[in-house]
Amino acid sequence: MDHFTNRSLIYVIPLWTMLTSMGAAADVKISFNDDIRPIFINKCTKCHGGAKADGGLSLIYREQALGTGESGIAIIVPGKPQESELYRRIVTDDLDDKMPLQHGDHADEPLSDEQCETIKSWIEQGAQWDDHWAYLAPVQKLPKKLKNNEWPRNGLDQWILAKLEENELQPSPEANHAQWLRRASFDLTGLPPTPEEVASFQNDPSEDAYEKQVDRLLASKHYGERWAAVWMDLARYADTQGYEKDRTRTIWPYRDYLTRSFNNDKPYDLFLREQLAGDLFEHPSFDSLIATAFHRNSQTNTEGGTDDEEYRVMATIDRVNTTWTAMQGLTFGCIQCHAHPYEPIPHEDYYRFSDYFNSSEDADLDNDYPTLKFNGDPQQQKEAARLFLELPKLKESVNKLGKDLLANDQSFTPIKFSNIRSSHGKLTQQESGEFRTSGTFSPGTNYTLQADADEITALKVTITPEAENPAELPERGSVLSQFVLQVKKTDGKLVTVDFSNVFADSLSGPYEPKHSLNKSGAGFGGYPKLFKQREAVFVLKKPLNLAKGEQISIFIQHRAATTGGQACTLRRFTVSTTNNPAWIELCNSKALAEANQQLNKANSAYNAIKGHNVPVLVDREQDARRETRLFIGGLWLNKGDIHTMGVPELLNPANMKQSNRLEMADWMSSSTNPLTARVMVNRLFAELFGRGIVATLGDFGSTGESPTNLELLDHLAVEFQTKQKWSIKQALKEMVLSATYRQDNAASIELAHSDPKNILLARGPRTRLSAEMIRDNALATSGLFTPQVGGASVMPPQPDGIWQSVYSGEKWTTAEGPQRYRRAIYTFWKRTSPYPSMLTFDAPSRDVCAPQRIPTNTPLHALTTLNDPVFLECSQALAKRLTKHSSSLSEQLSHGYHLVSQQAISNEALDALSDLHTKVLKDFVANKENAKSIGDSPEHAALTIIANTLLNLDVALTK
Amino acid sequence: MNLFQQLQHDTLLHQSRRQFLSKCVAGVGSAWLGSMADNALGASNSSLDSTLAHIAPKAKRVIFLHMAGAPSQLELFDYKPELAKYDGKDTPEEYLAGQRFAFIQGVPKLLNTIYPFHQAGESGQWISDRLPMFEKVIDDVCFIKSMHTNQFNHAPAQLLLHTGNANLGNPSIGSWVTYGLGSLNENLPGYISLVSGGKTPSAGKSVWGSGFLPSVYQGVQCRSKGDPVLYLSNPDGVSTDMRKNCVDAITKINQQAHNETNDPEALTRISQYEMAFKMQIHANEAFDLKDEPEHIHELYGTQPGKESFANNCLLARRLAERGVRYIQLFDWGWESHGASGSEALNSGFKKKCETVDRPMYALLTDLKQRGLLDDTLVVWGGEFGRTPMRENRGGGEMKFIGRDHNPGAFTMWLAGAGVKPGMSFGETDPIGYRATKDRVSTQDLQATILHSLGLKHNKLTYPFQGLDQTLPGVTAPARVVHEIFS
Repeated sequence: MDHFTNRSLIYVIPLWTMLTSMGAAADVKISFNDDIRPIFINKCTKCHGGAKADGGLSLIYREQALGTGESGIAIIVPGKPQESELYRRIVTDDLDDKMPLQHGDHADEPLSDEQCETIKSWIEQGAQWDDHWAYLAPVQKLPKKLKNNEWPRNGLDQWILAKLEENELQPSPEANHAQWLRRASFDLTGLPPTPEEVASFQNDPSEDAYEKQVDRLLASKHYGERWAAVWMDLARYADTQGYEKDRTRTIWPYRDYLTRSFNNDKPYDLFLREQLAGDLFEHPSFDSLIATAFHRNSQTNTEGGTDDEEYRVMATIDRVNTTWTAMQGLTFGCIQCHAHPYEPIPHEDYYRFSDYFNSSEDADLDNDYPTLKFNGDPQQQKEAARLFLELPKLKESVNKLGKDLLANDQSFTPIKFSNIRSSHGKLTQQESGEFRTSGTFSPGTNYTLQADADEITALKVTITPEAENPAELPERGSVLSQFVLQVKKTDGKLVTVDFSNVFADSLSGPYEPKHSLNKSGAGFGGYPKLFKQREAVFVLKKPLNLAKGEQISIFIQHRAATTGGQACTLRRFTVSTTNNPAWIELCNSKALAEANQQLNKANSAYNAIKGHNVPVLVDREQDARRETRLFIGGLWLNKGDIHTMGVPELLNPANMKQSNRLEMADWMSSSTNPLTARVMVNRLFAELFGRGIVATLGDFGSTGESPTNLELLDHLAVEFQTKQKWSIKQALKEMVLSATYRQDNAASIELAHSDPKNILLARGPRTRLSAEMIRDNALATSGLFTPQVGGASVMPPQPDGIWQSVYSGEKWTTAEGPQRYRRAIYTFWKRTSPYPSMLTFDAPSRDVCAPQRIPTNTPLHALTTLNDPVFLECSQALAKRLTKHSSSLSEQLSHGYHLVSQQAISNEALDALSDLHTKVLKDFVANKENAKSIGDSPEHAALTIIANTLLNLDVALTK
Repeated sequence: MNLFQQLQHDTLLHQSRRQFLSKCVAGVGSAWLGSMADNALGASNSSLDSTLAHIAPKAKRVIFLHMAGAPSQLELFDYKPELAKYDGKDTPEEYLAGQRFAFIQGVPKLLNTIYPFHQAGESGQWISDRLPMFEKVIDDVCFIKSMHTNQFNHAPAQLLLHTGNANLGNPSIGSWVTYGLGSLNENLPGYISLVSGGKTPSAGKSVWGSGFLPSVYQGVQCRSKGDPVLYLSNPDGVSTDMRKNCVDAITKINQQAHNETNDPEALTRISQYEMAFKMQIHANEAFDLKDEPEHIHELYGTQPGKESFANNCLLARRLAERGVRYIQLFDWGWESHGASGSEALNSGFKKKCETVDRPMYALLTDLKQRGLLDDTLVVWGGEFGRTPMRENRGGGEMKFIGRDHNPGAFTMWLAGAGVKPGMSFGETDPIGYRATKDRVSTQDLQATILHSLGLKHNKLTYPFQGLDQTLPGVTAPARVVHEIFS
């Protein structure tokens, strides 16, 4: 595909023209992307799109639009509108024939004359069909010729200025030092600058004074915390599992991984690769294992009576959707149920992609299995990672010896039992030797099976799914918790026969085959679900030969159950025996002994490491992979064909390999992916400038907002991929040092009215602090702030009675001492009951990936910063800080104002605060009891109220 | 232009896409929205302007009484005489094949209703002996006996009932309603939730969350104990006058910030501080039950200062009077598996019935005597029903009597706002296991509630993830149950 040709066809239309009119005169070149596709999407694709293609026509795909549909009539004939059915149907006066339909459920307003004219011109001009801009690789264009060559400091400015000049606007003058430094400090570190930092910057006449500040801020350990907060919304980070019980999940080491990664300026491509497939690296480090917890932030439903498979599937779907929303800015979730309604992405692509995540070991279990041991000590971490990766290999090396023999041993024959007993329900043996069950079983059900037997060296248990149709799988778990072989002597006494080893056809899930030799809830089989037939061989210590009149007696004990207490019994199984001596030879072999010894050693070493268990992503071994079937209509119980790993062709122009999760991660983080870099630079831009170049950060598709400055977006994206080598710090540096960012954020009345959202950036950005920054600002300004980076989440004060979760004994234990004053990202995040002030200031609940916070401005904000005890406590501390600064009231007020805004106080503000202080102090002197509730003395109480007022000023809440 | 004209001007400017608010029943919703919320909403081709459907509303507000945990329809309203014949007998295979249960194992036994039923009121509707007070207003309510859902676990079923989706992340019905209609009182949140029973519902605060709608539309959880709205009260020692002085100073200084920057957000902030101050007075007053006369306390059985369903019912009436658009009550503790005394039909369930009987009766009576029932829709129900089979957790008979979750059939009732009183809609099979006639899905119920408020469920849309999202979801067909309206 010739990208350049396509790209050059995109018509640059001044923004305001674009917003006001879609019409176009016949002699103007019509752009498919700008003029035609929006009409199709607005008016046609509901019925003629990806989800529905009435009459066999979808206007998503070019071939269909230029084809004939079911009617056989040509839909669009390039150059000939009068021969095009599409044009005829939109202009006809016959109301029964007109499109959009004029009757029925899908009736819609007809197209305007202008729209019809546009479509006509477009067909006349050849009906050129362009790919949506976001699916073509970003191309850096040569900067335009500008009138004002003095202003731009870098490439970003050139493209901003080009747009301003197009709209006949001038950039605003530079902001004063303090305004810029406040903005840059919050944007880069999430914290305000200290008075000393402001002064030092103001007094630095050197040419690189700005750059020095930026370098200082980027090097701050708090930089990583600020940007981790942004990623935590995308990663749907929370300290609990979600749903009903919503119990604690220890996953904060992942949050610390984020902070560390940003602080170390980990290249963004590597950052993505680690989170998607760090476990599959050639040599995974502890960090790359912890990184995979990104996708263990999906929810676990531990409500009693839930189907673990249902919520495992939901977690898989959540991982697919999160990956696409966070990293690709596409509404991939649409194609869970059908082909994408607006984008040329087929339904099957969803299941091809979900196959990357469908064979992970986690299965909605209450303990969040599988987990990695986390210990704060780097040496221990290294050791934990090494053992964590080695253990499955060692287990496999033990099991493989038996597995290989099992695959080749044809000598097993089913036993025909003469005596069959079950503690519950009904157990019957078929002619083939297979057992089937019926009736009601409890989790503690046991079977006793007795039979005559020849020499035995090993027994094989085969557990078979009841469903004959593989599309109905998986079914409820089936676990052999304990398997006992006994000899029934002639006098009826039972003597237990020892096993030396148990081997299985594959190793997967939380249980190990040898668990079935002990009394525990674990064992051999499929848990919590049975996906396919399973086989295990129980090898005797020595060959068993019965004496005359003796029988074998097999005891099968079940203990496993689902969260709803549903028994995971054996429902269809076979027990067979062999006298093949190879089994006992194998168990006596040196090879097995050595493999076992190594395994035991590694096991004890891993168990000796102390620490938390952090959920991470682990794939099931090859033999235990789950099949991925398409869900018909998106319904998980309605399964269609099998699909295997792959990425949408549309977005893989370089035809990169895609046969496993690591290759998918390589594709995702490659420069040939047209979306990855754009989505990230757009996010960084939005955090700094208050609005993305594409305003819908999570939707770069045909229904998302069009980029307001595509050349700028592509410039930033290409720089990010090439010159900046995916360095987020470099990308941010270009932004905050730009002339655009340095502008004063005051607007003239005209500008405020002509561009209220500051889309064109003819002035500096002025935005409200984020939820996190509002807390952190109050802590920093008051001096209470605890600068500790990382560690377990903490519980700062919150009102009583917020946590009332069902069936959860967990309590909010208010932190004391320095832990009370940690940054907002460390506040314990309970999904079903998030920290109230965070929610009030627009933080999402973190149930699912949130690509964007929607800013609001409500009375509840005021109530929070005025009355929340956290802010009162900060105000009390700030008052003390002011008293320490000076004994003069006016100096206290000036200093306080400077602390919250970094600006000099105006006379009007000083008067307003002095007046307030006079009134408040008078009140507190008169009502000493009231003063006592607020401060140490009437004076301290009065200054506390002033401090609280300062923290509530617009200048304090805005950057 | 004075400050507030300027604010109005700027607000309108920012809300060009939200013109519907000025056309709708109550324009003050825009004040709560603040200003910039639509900044980031996305698609310029959104159909926001056409969200307000043009149906005459019957209801101005909704009070939804959710019995969290799912009360048994077979012990309250859905009379199944046939079931007596099968009591204690094995459930026939036809009812079990292909079913997924939360706790029932293998082949459970059928269980007859454990409380006697009789006909009550002039309408002669069936009811058990558990709700003797409520029975007196039975002629005011319309039962829907053919409710069904597709979720059989609490959290997902509650989410489906209130957000149209069993997964987390979607706006609740109250958020949709306030998004569409705004509030009738600018001094109170338009959407308030009240919780009793000592616990939040299984799905947590997401059942009154705003999902992908701006957070301003989330339900504000208010409490009948402590601050009714979080952080509503001034800290101890700060008087109303003092707070007024603070807000005045903030206004003065913020006005200056606006003069310097012309940032409309600064203006909005000024008005939100003013509104917060007014809200402190009005909300505290709205939640103060002490000013109710004694006969009202007797009617409801209320005890000011306590957290109870009775208090919440009385608060619901007070909030309804004050124009709160959507009042959501959750009463936790209706689980009836028989796993323990508190979760048993023959024990805990009895007590739960006693705690809601009088308040339910009082709420309907009180709304009626004040003329509020004419334009208030009251909805009652759980997230699913209970099985006609007795639960056999662990495969054997349990000490207490209980029933498992049943998504196939449950009963809800509606009253007020043009709903036909004294009628029963829909039927279940002879054992009350599955809704058979005139089935009503949770999505249908949502469409019906929106309809009564004058909103069309397929026209009340919000652009998200490339789709014009709706409450019942774009994939599930939903139908307004017109038959229940007079």
